[in-house]
Amino acid sequence: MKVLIVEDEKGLLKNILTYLSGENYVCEATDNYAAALEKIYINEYDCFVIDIMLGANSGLKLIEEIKQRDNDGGVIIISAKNSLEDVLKGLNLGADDYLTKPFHLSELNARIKAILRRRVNKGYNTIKFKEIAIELNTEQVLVNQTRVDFTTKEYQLLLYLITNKGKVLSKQSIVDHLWPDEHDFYSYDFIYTHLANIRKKLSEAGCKNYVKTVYSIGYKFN
Amino acid sequence: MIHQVDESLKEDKEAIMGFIQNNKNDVSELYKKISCSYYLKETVGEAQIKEKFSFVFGLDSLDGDYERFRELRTLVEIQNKNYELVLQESFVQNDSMILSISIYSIFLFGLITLGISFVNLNISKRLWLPFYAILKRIESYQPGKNKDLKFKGGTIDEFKILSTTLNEMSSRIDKSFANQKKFIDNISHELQTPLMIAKSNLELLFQQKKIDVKTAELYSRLDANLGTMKQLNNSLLLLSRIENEQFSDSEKIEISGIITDYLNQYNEQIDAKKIQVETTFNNEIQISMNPVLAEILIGNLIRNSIVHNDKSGDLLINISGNIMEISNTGPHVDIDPEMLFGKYVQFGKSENSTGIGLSIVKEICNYYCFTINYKIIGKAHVINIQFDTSESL
Repeated sequence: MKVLIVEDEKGLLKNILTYLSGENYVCEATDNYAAALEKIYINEYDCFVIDIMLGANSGLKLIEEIKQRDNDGGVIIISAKNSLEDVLKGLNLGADDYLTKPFHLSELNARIKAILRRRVNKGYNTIKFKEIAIELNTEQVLVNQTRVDFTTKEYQLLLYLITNKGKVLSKQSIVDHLWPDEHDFYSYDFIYTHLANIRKKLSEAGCKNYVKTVYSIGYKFN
Repeated sequence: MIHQVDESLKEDKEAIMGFIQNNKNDVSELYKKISCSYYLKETVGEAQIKEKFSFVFGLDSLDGDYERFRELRTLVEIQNKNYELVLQESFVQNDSMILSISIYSIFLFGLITLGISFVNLNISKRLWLPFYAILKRIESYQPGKNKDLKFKGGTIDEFKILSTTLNEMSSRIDKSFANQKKFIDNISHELQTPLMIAKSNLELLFQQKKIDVKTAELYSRLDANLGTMKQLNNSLLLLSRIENEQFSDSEKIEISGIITDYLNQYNEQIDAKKIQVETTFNNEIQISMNPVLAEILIGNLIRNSIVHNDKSGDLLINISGNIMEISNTGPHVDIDPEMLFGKYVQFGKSENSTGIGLSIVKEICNYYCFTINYKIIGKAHVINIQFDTSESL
């Protein structure tokens, strides 16, 4: 699995690469249009992450190039908050998803994985972690083949934790994931409640406690 | 007055004297000349009377009343005999004449005054016409809006100068307003990248193997503050997008539907605070506006009424006519209602509130010319919005 990341802000590009380095896919990166174009012509990628503000609208041009080459790799647009018109143009060109700056790296990781999963599994889509299985199409969670009922938010939180397994997720990043753009409204108390429910339901189904609390910062699924 | 009558008596006397000296017999000639009555009296002995004026009362031959007369007594010598000549003139007659003259004068004066003021009024009305046009224009002036509308001074020089000055002033205000908008726009845009980098750096720090308790607490606080900064920046971006009229497309919106959606969406918070929600929709408000702005407007108001509500408080939402009223219980705050919708005003003290939500509400109301009001009734904070349903934007 190969992912190409095109981002002209070098500091950010470096951080993205560092964060995604431990994942089960390979990342390649470049910070300019010409190099990106070259890579697109030489290699095959399963997912593209493209900053749309790549100088003189070349981000959009890049998406056009990708789609013209009949490349069926998924495209995630990174954009500034106030350039939603460009995002719409990008989505019309065939991009699959978008993130607005500033986003959490864990969120980017989750979005990339969603695209890669769709590409690999095509249709039947299940994430497995030891005794837990999550069926994405039906949004069902099975523990040892037995169905466990979760509310929508609990399901979203569990999926987010498992997608980013092995990584520490800050409470802030969880709030932003569950309630995008509602930061000033949801206190961390809501996360505590949801996590307590998740832990309880999993252990009642005979599952080990994989959700570790990282003091003061957040949680880690391991 | 007395002097005048005396003069006339003297003149009459001269006329009589002249008549006597010339020894003419035609009395009618004399009557033409004099206006007073007179008579001659023979004086006995050496009369030493010189000319003497005095007031006397006598019978007026015309109307039979006793009236005041002015009398002139003087000595004349006719054929070596001394006679006393007495001339009398009615003083009252003169009085009434003066009165009538005065009345006529006052009447005339009044007429002139009226005429002048009528002409003046008409002239000044026409004269000040451009001035009132300018006044009207100032009243309707809003910085950054109707830029093509200029002040016009007409043909009068002074107003021309005034208009030119006002045009210059308004264009300066417009310019600085545009600059301010651009500044906010640029700042919030430029802040996105450094914020992103700071956040991603912090996320990498979280992945470190061993973080001690104190560092973890510092990281966590840093994370929360970066989150607030992000939220503030998003709000500023939104504000400047509304001000720059980037939400021009509109569709038919039903307000009650949005309210119900948001109440469902915020179920968790409502339950957590044990807030009693009551909605009364007497009718439906249908309005043509941008769907994103409609959601932001309603969402912000409902969020605000939940965040600042008491534990086990009330939240009442009422629609009747074209007015939506949201009322929530909450701690008393000393705040000027006018200030409430200003930017960065903290409504009470809430830890997670950036205090910009209501100014976004206000900005959306301004954009669509809705009237928004805030008042405190007892323990309840009431915000009502009067939608402009007549206009289809």
